[in-house]
Formats: sequence, structure tokens, C-alpha cells
Amino acid sequence: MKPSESPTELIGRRDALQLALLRPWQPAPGAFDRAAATHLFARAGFGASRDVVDRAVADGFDRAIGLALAADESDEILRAGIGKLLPTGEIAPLQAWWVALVLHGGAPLRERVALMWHGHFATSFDKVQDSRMMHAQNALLREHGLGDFRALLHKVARDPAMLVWLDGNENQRGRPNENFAREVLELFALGIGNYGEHDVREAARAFTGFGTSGRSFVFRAALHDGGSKSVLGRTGTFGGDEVLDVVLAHPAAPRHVARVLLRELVEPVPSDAAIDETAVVLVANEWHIGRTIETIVRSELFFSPAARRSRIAGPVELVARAVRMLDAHVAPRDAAQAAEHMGQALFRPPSVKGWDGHRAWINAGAWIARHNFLAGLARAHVEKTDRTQVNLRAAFGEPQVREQVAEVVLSVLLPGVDAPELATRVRSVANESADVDHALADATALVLTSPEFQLC
Amino acid sequence: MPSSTLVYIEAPALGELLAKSATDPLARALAAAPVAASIGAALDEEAHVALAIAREILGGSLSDGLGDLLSGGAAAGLSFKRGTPDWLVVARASDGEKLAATIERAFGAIATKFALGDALSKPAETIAGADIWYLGDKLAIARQDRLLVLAPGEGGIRGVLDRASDENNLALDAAFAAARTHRKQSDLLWAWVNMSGARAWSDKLAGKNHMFKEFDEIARNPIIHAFLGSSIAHATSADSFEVRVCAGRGGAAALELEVRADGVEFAAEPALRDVRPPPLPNRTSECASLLAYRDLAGLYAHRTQLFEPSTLPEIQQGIAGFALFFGGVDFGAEILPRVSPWYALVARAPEFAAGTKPEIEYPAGALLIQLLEPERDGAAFVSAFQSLLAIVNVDLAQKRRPAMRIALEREGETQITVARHAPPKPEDGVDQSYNLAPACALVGGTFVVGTHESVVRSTVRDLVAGRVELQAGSADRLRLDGTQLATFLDKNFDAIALASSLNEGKSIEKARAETRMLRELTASIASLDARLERPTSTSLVLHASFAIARGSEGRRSEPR
Repeated sequence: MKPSESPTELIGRRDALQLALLRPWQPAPGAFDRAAATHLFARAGFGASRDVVDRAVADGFDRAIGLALAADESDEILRAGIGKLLPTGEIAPLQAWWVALVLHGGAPLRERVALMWHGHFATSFDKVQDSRMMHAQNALLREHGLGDFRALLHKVARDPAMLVWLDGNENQRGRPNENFAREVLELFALGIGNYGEHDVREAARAFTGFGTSGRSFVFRAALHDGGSKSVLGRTGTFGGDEVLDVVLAHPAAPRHVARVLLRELVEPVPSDAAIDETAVVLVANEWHIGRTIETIVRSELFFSPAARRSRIAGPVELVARAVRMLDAHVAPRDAAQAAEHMGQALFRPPSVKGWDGHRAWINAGAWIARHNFLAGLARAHVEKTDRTQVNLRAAFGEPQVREQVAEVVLSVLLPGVDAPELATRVRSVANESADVDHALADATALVLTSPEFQLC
Repeated sequence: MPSSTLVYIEAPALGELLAKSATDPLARALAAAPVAASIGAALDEEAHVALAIAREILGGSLSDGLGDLLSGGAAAGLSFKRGTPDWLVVARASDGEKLAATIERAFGAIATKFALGDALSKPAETIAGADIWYLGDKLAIARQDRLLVLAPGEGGIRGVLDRASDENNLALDAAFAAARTHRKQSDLLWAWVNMSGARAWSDKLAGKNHMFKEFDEIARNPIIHAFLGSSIAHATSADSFEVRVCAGRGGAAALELEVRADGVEFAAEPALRDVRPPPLPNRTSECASLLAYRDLAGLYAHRTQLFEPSTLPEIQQGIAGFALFFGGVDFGAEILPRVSPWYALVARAPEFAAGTKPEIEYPAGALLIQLLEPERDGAAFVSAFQSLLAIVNVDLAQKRRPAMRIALEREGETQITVARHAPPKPEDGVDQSYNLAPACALVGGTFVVGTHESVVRSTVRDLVAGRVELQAGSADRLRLDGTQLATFLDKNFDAIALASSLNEGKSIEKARAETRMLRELTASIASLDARLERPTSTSLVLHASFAIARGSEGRRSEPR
């Protein structure tokens, strides 16, 4: 594939290009096992309990895919209610509400993708200082995140929170502010190396007049630079919407989005070949994120050994995976705070780049925070609290004796993982515990806080 | 009870109230109060089963059965024997045979549940004419005619049966006997807590004042003195506490509560200033009003004697902060002494201008400060308020928020300073910050400052028109209107329930049920009138009267 090929040209070549990495996985009998199903639910959502995984294995690969990608809308009561707390102006209720949907909501893929876009179109409450605007952006990402990326980008350009975050109101004819234009080119759609400073300046002129009035988007024609601009080799009297179309027509655009999807779903450093194939699929699907994700999730690449357990789970992802796998219940506020202590405060990314992720998630302080939360979650089985409820007997299929505990805990939390030293320690801890319940708590704490569990 | 008893609780007339629950005004009011239905609805299946068993044991009716059981009074005591807690419960029933039958039914239920066979069919032993049963090694139950005794073991039972001739008897304790002269036979509950005894026990067990260290710190905490008052701060030094609960006078559907602290050390306090309390606006629409004696000037002047040395720099910093608003004048030494030690606070439902009614609504409050030299200090207080608003606007600007608009307006002939947020666009919603439209005014010698201009304006109108209630005496006084306060729980019901669910991990349904119960409990209090007085130089009494709302008054118009 040539780097200079446009998306249209890529479509034309789709039939000629045989998908290799993204060809559908057709598992041999027994290949879609607990390990594969656990991997599927971990990447296409935030993990699943033992019962759900067992049922998925029994139902088979196709039905499991359908289950992983499904959206159950029965948590409407949570969605309907957050409006009652937005007038407080505080971000903590919004953080807790979203975490509640991540932990217990019926549309995990939607939440996963919204979280991905939240890091991609990073916008922080620390500057916006308006919880309603942050909620509106979140709603936009959740509603359109699985749809047409082009439409999503256009909507983000008009999102009031984004405009405040990147100083859209200061971007005026004669005094362009380059912040938003730069991030569109560098972070949102193209990536470094695919544009020049001239393109940034000219694109900024195109976005002049985009601003906010109260909490709403407003286009101020009087502040807009209607002159001719030259962006990415194209010339015209572009406005904001037109320049976005110019950017999206650049050959690097689908590859940039493809890279984002692959980093989230497959591996932290995807190969050029994988990126190229995913870009072709994206364009062939009219930039539809959901259909592209389905292609990825059904592919040999997704289920390849190299893809499995190749990512370090981010804090929200880790908290949610532990809770869902144990079928536990944690106060959403506590879960949000735990993720924040681990380095990911929802609605407050540290910079325009969002969170760096992968190895950047791990430092001394974050490690301690991970350990404290995960160990506390496991111990809640024996040290009962109102705010955290977990029944490890049910989570692990009612083991009757201590000697069974190590095997069931490892098979549920780390299926298919070859970690003999960890297994030895888990067996030792379980066998030395006072009873089955303490064995479960101790073994689970040990596995959850292991380096192996941080990978997903 | 043994003389080592530290906590003693007695229910002289509770049995009588329960026995007459069908006709007694208070009992009927409690049963019909909004919260009663909520409690019933909140009980889970296990609780209903337990209640059914209890009903059966008590002979078919909870109120009648308990009334019989407690008709001659009941008492409980907690003491510490060689470092371990010890307890005792005594009740005198109406009839020995009825009591025997109740015990038999109770033991039958216990034997069935725990498969004990006929282990409890006969008493284990008989001492001094009392039959005694033992349930494991944790509970002994004795019946002597119509006297029922529960204790952890035989020792406690013997102690009661032998007590009349035993010098180790709480009744002979001078302090207890003196306190018990306040108890009336008509009291529903009377309790006595031996604080000096508890301190001595705590010293012995865990070092000097280990358990009471925090109490001592309260007495020397300037924040407690300023907000709760020196009386409450010093109450922690009391030798004993008494609590009385009785029915309201004259057959009213009301409860009276009295909490008394004796042996309180009020030494080192500044002398009470001879200043009359201010008149309070006389309104029926008040959610709450508070009249409080806080001699801030005296506290400041005596700070080195009253407070921990570590708090003095912070006090000085706070005073210096106020000086900033008063043109650099020494606020503690010059301004405070010219302010009356009496403060009044009123809370009402605010009235919002069109388009500014917030989606989360709070009661608005106004603080009334009496200036002893209003001609000298009135303008300074108004200027200080205006300066504060300017600083608030700087903070809003730093957060990229629009400034509040400050205006000088009139309420009748009185000038009023008011600050308002610009009305939001209709599509933007109205944040809770719109509960704040702070305002101030000076009416004669009264400086009124409030969180919302509507309450300041209405207070000004009341003061100017003389629609006030003169206050007598030297008591702090708090009044609450539960039905008014409950309307705010109604307005914010969904927000409160969702916040509870998200913060504490409860299901939405459980959070709603708990919020509903809180709302009904609040609405069940038609009014609360509480006074805090010092009848002697070493005692403090809190007297509170709760009028119970009738069910229909406090009920929400639509069930949730």
C-alpha cells in the first residue's frame, strides 16, 4: 500500500487487497476456549464474570461476538438521572455516574469506545469548569463514538467544551488561535509528520468564528476569516467544516484513526501492515467505527497470541475488569477515586494528548494504588463492608475445599496464562489459609495484584 | 443496679403509653406520622417475619404485649467490671402469670428455631423465689413474680435479687440520687450517664483521659465555641448527663426532650454581657430560626486562657482577614466589642426571579447582627460586604465565569446591596449557584446579611414594620419547621437519591427508599422548639419540644 494513496483510492483497491491480518478467525473446535472468550470480553468491553464466559464458550464464537458487541439499554434510570446532579456544577457526580455505567451498564463496548475517544479528544474539566458541558461532550462521544468518525469529528469541532478547552472563542479573524487546528492535525485526525506549520496556521483561519455562547455552540460570522486558505495542498475559502473534510481526505487520516483503534483493541504498537489493513476496512465501511471494530474483533489478528495480554490495562479498565470478573459491586464514587489514584481521573485528562497509556500507567504511586484497590476488593469477601460487596464463592463456582481454590481462581482470572511461579505462590497462600473463604480472598488478592493481571 | 453503673436507662411510663396506644394522642400521632408508613414499607421480609414472631410471643399485639411487659416500668444499666462491660435489664410487668406465659412462648420459639427440644421447658435453678434460665453462657433470664431480669450471667441476676440489702447499690449513690429527683413517673424514658465515673474507668484502663481526650479538645476548640457556643463546648466537662423524654403537656401530640449536664466547668469564660437579645422576625413561613449568644469579642479577648496555643495563630489570621474588609482596623479589639453577643439566623424558602430558579434549591438564610453603635459601624459593615463581593467576582473571573452584578437598590426606605448572577440562557439550565444572590441591609441597629436577596428583603420589611417577636431570657433558641424543610427534600428528591446511590453504591431503589424515609421523618416534625439554658453556674439544660405532624399534613402529594 502506498502512503500517498487517498482513502478513495484505498477503497478502489479493497477488492484487490486480500485482508490478511484482519481475515475472520475461524477457530478450530475447542480453540474458542475460556482464554479466548476472556480476551474477547476484556478487549471489547471491560471483562465478564465466570458465568458469562462459560456461557459464551458453550454458545460458540459467533454468538459470543454478538454478546460482546451487544448493547442492553436497561440502565436508562442511570442515564436519565444524571441531569439531576449536573446543576451542582461539580465533576465528581459525573465521574461516578460514568463509572457506574462502565462497571454495571449493559453496553460495555459503547463505554469502552467512549473512554477511548475521551482520551483521544481529550478535554479537561480543570479548564472547562462546567459539568454540563463535560456531560454534553460525554454524551456526544457515547452516542456517536461507534458511528461515522467523520461525523464525530465534525461534531467535536462544534462541541462547546472542546471550544473552551482549546480557546475557540479566542480564535478570531486577524488574530487566529492555533490550538484547535493544531490538535485536529496532530492528535485527532492526521498525526505528526503529515502536515506542516503552514497547514496549522491556515486551518486555524478556517476555524475562526467557531465559539460558544453560554453552553451552546455559536458561529460568529463577523469574527470569521472568509479569505482563501491553503491547507494540505488544497486551496479554497474554507470554513471549519470544509477544512475538516480536507483533512479527512488526506491519506494519513484513515491510518491515524486505524492506529487509534488498534492500540485500544489489539496491541500498543500496531504494525504498519495492520494499520494499513484497518484503514482500508475503515474507509470501505464509510468510516463506521462500529463495523470496523467488529471486523477487528472477529479477526485472526485480534485473537493472535501476540495480541493477547499485550496491553497494560488503564486504571478505569483495570477497576472495571476486576469488578466485572468477580461480579462484585463497588460504590461508583469509590471506583472513580481508585482510578484517579491510579492515574486516570475521568473528565480530567492531564493534557491535550490525553493519557499516554501502556507503560506510562505504571509508576510507584500508581502501583500502590492498584494494589490497594485490588487487594481491598478481594478482601471484601471476608471483611464485609457496605460499599464493596463481593461473593468469591459464587464468582469462582463454589469451591468446597482450600485445595481447589488456587486452580479455580487462576482459571477464571488468568485463563490460559502460563505463570508457574505465580501459580505456586497462589497454591501456597490458599492452602495455608484458615478456611475456604480466606483462601479465596487471599488467592484472589494475590492474582489481582500480580503483574500478570495488569496485562489484558 | 450496681453502684458501678455508668449508664442507666429507665422507662417509667413507656408501658402505659404502649398499652393505651389506641387512644393516647401521642401514640396515635406517632403511628400516623408520615415516617411510620415509610418505616413499615422499608422493612424487608426478614424483619416482617421477626415482627410476626414477636407479636406471637407477646400474645398477639405488639403494643398491648409490650405495654403489659413494661407496665410497671423498665430499666437497663451498663457498667464495667474489671475492665469488661457488664449489663442488666429489669422490667416489671402488669401480671406475673401473663409474664410467665410470655416467657414460655418466647422459649418455645427459641427452642424451635435452634432445635433445643425441651431444654428450656423448666428453669435451670431457682434462687430467692426467682426462676432462672440460661441461654448458653451469654444470657441469663430470671422471673420473680412479675419481675423480669436479663443479665449476662447468674451474678447479675443475684445482684438484682439481693440489691435491696446490698450497700453496693446505685440508688445509694449521692450523685445518682440527686439526678433522679428530676425523673418523673410520667417520663417515657429517663437516662443518666456517669461521666466522671467513665473518665476514672478510662484513666485506669488506657492512660490519662484516653477516651476523653477528644472531649477535652472540644472544650478548647475555638470553632466549637464560635459556632455551637461555649455552653456546648464546656458541656464536655460535665460530671453527668441526664436525658428525659416525656409526652407533651395537655395531651398534645408532642414529645419533650430534656438533656441536662451537671458539674460543668464554665470557669475562665468571659462574663455574660448584659445585652438584650434582638427581636426575631415573626413569620409562620420560616423553615428555621436560631437565636444564639456568641460573645466573640469576649472569646477573642480571653483566647489565650480558653483555647489551645496551637490555634492562636489561626485565630489571628482569621481576625486579620476580617480587618482587610474593615479598612485595616483591628477587628478583634475594635469592631467585635461593638457588636452584640446575640445573633439571629432565619431560614426561609427563597423567591426567585423569572429564569433564575435553580434546579437544585436550598433554603435561604439571613443573619441578623446587632450593632451597638450603628451610626459608627453601620456603613463599615455594608462596605465590608461589598468588598467581599468584589473578591468573589475576582475568583469567578479566574474560573472564566461571569461576574455577579452588584447593585444598590431600595426596599421601601431601606438601602439594600444586592449581587446577582446574570440570568442564564433558557437552554443552559439553572445551576445551584443561583441559590446565591447575596444581599445586605442596615435597619436601625440591625445589620442583615443573607444568601438570597428575597430573604433579606422580607426580613427588612418585617423589621421596619415591627412584625417581630421580642425575645426574653438568656437562652439560645432554635426553631425548626419540619414540614417546610421537607419540601426541600421533595424538590431535590431525585438528586439526593442519585447522589446517595453513586456515592455509597446503593441501588437506586434503596437510595430512593432511604431518601423517602428521611423526607417522612423530617415531615413528621411539625415543629421543633429547643432552648439551651444555664439554670445554675455548673449546669446546662437543653429543652426541646417536638410537635408531631399529622399524617395528612406531612404527606407528599404524589407517591414516588
